[in-house]
Order: sequence, then C-alpha cells, then structure tokens
Amino acid sequence: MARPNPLAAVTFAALAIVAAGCGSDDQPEAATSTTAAQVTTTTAAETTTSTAPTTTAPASVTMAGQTVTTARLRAIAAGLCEAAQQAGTDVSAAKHTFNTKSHDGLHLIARGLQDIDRPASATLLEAKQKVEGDFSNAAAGEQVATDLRTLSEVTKSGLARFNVSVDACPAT
Amino acid sequence: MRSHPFRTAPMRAGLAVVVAAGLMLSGCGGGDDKNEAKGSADTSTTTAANTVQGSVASYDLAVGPPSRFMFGMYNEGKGAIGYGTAEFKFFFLGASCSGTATGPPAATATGRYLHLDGGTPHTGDTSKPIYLEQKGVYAADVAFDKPGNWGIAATVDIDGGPKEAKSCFKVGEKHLVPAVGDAAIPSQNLTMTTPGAPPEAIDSRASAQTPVPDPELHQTTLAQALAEKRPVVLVISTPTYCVSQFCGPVTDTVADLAKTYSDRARFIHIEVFKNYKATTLQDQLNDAAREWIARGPDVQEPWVFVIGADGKVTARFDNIATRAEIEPLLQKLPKMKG
Repeated sequence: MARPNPLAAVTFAALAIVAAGCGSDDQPEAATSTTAAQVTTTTAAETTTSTAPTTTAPASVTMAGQTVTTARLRAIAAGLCEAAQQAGTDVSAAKHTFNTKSHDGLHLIARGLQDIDRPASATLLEAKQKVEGDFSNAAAGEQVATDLRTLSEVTKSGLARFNVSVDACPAT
Repeated sequence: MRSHPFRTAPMRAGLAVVVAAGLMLSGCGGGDDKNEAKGSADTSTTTAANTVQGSVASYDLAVGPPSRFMFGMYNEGKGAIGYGTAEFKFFFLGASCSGTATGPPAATATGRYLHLDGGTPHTGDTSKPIYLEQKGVYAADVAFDKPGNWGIAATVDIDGGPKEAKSCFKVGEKHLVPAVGDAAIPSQNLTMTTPGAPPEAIDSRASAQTPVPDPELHQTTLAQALAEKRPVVLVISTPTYCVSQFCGPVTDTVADLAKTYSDRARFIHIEVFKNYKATTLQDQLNDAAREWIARGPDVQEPWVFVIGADGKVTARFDNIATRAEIEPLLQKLPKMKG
C-alpha cells in the first residue's frame, strides 16, 4: 500500500452497533442481542381515512440490527405481488421486479426472523429459493406466479412477527 | 481538527470480527422508498438519505501480509455504487471505535471494483463510479499491522465530485478461519454416496423431491482429495439459507469452474447446514462446515478456499468470490494425472 499524505488529526466518534446495511433505513441504536426481545417497534399514528378507525402501527421495526421503516417492508411485500401479477404473462419482468424490489429485503426479513423464529426464517428462505429455482429453470409463468404468491403469504406471516401487517396479493 | 465519525458495521452479539457483507449489503438497492423520512439521530455524513454510505464486506480480517479487503458502497436513494475505483484510507482506532486518531492514515489503497458473477455487466462507461442495480464491492489488498479497531474512509468520484463513506471494523491478531499457508482440514464432508445423508444436508437446495443441483461438487471428501494430493477448490455455502445473498452466486461460480477445470482440481461444496431449523449451532451445522468456519456463536458464509496439492491453503475468498479471481489460479495448475 502506498503511504498517504499527512492529514490533520482525525476524530472518530463512537457509534454503537448500527445498521450500516446498504439501503437500510438505519439509525444508531444500541446493540441488540439475539433474543426475542429484539423485536422492537417505534409507534406512530398512521394516516387513516376519515371513515376508518384510527389505528397505530409501527413506523419502523428493528430487525437484524437494522431499523427498517414499515413502508419499506410493505414495499418489499408489494413487490412480490407485483411480480406475481406479471409472471403470468412476462416471467422476465417478474424476475426483474422480484430482484429489484423484493430480493434483498427478503434476506433482511429472513435474518430478522432468524433471531426470533428460526423455523419461520427457514420457511421464508425455502419459499424464496423455490421462486429463484423457478427463474433459474425457466419455469412456466403459472408456476412462477403460484410460487411468488406462496412467498408473499410467507412474507406476510413473517412480517406479522414484527407487528407489521401487509395486504395479501389481490386475486387474479 | 477534522471530525470523522465512523460507524461500525452491524455485528452479531459476541462476534469478534466484522460481520458478513450480506447483512451489510442486505438493503443495497433493494428498496424503492427513496423519499422515506429516515429519522436518524446520527449526524454523520454516512447516515442521511441520499448520501454515499459504505460497509465492510470482509470477514475474519487479521494482522499479516496483504490480503483482500472489501468495501461495499451505495447511496440509499440511488442504489449501489460500482465501477471505477474507490480510494481507501485506513486509520487505527485502538480498543474501540471511539476516540481520536491523529496524524495521517496508517495506510491507503485504491479499491478496484469487483463485479459479482451472475449479473449483467454494465455496457456503458465503466471508468468512473456509477449507480447500479447490480451489487458489487470495491476491493484492495491491504495489510494491517496491529489488532484492534480500524476505521476506513472510502472516497468515490460520483454525483459531480468526491463522496466519502466511513466505517469501523475489527482486525484480529490471527485469522480464525484457515488462511493462506494453513494446512487444509481433512474433513469427511457429505457426498452423494454418503450412506443416509439427507439431500438437504448435501445441498440446501435439494430435498427428497428435488435432486442435488450440482452433484459434481459432491463426489469426494476433502480427506480423500488431500490424501490423493489433489488440488481442491472448496466452497462452503448454503444456497437456500444464505443471509448474505452471495452463497448462490458463489456456489454457481464454483460449479461453472468445475465444468472447465475438473482435470486440474477437485471441486467440493460443503453445505453449511445439516438442519437449519435446529435450536443449537452444534445441531445446525454439518460437521465439515463446523470444522472449517464455526469459530463463535454464529457462522459467516460463503467461503471459497483453493488448496494446493501439498494440502495447504493457497487462496481464500470470504463472502464474495468471482470467476475472475479464481480462474487464474486454476489456469496455473497442471493437469492432474491418474
């Protein structure tokens, strides 16, 4: 390695274990242990319609050491529904949607579940692997759509462990 | 005095080494919520939305000769950063990520972009960093001369000028996982012919209904290959239960290389888990995986090891291993006899 030019004194601020994860909705937070107590939520009143009852839901949750907004988790889940919708007619588009909107987030959710419900993490990763296998093996669109919907349901169940509710995919 | 707040990589409790980039990269370009409020109390430049951030992608860093150091960079609102180069500055921080480091960086290096196998390479100008959907990392060979906490400040030229991301990571006194020069462990890994071996313990993608996808990687034990004095390319990964995102692509890379270079080395895949759902690490891991990579309360994967005919590790790739890195090593090997 080359030796650098002199630099002024550099101060390194302490930041506890934080989520440096790419694209995470991260913020500094205390280290989390690998226990069920890891599921923490930040509640904030969600905007509701004037006719709907006012509900509270977590604005963000901590999973796998990262603080993730509920909106992002819902976007991950919505990506699966979008991909399932596309798969019937365009598997390539479905694959692109899956990879760009949901894939990475599923890894994060699986890691979060790993700490509180390992079997649920396994179920999620297995369902995800099924979809990826479909894409690798050029499965028929109908099969891909079915497996994406299954993955969507598993994801929905997994997110419920973090008190995050997501809509089921609309019926085709 | 210039302030450089460094953030640590996310770490599993009890881990003494930098965590998997998989976790750290787990959100790269994955979200589309570009306008979300972040609500971060962190005032460092590395945490706000629409700024360049970065994470250490290396495992098991230790004092010693230069070895590959990887750093993933991204902008939460714009995606992963790739291509061109990144300039690395390293600062020794001591016992913790807190405190003050004075003077120049302990070392510098230029990170080259490692394009991950399996994605579509960018077809435009790749001489400068750009935003990508496809993830990759910047890598450089770096030597660390003392154990403890280190800081990295990485700079890329993007969005019209230099942008810096920082992180803190640990360097151990010694590697915990077998490293270059160490004797390979003669593991009795599961193979296609191991009596009673569940398919999913041979490869997590397999099951009673789904055959092992790469049977050519499960033909021999490491112990047998070493006894025969064969060079070996060993991948330890769990394609299904991978939280780092890279197990599948890395395993595929090794499987692809096996098709071309099976006359130069034995290619072996050790699945990490025999029972992912078990409650203890002891019960979760395959024995061979435990022998190679279990060094604490958790495991990091994937890994690729290249082992010489003399039974010693000649190259080690943590987390990410590309064809471009492994293939030249295989090309140097003579064809095997017998």
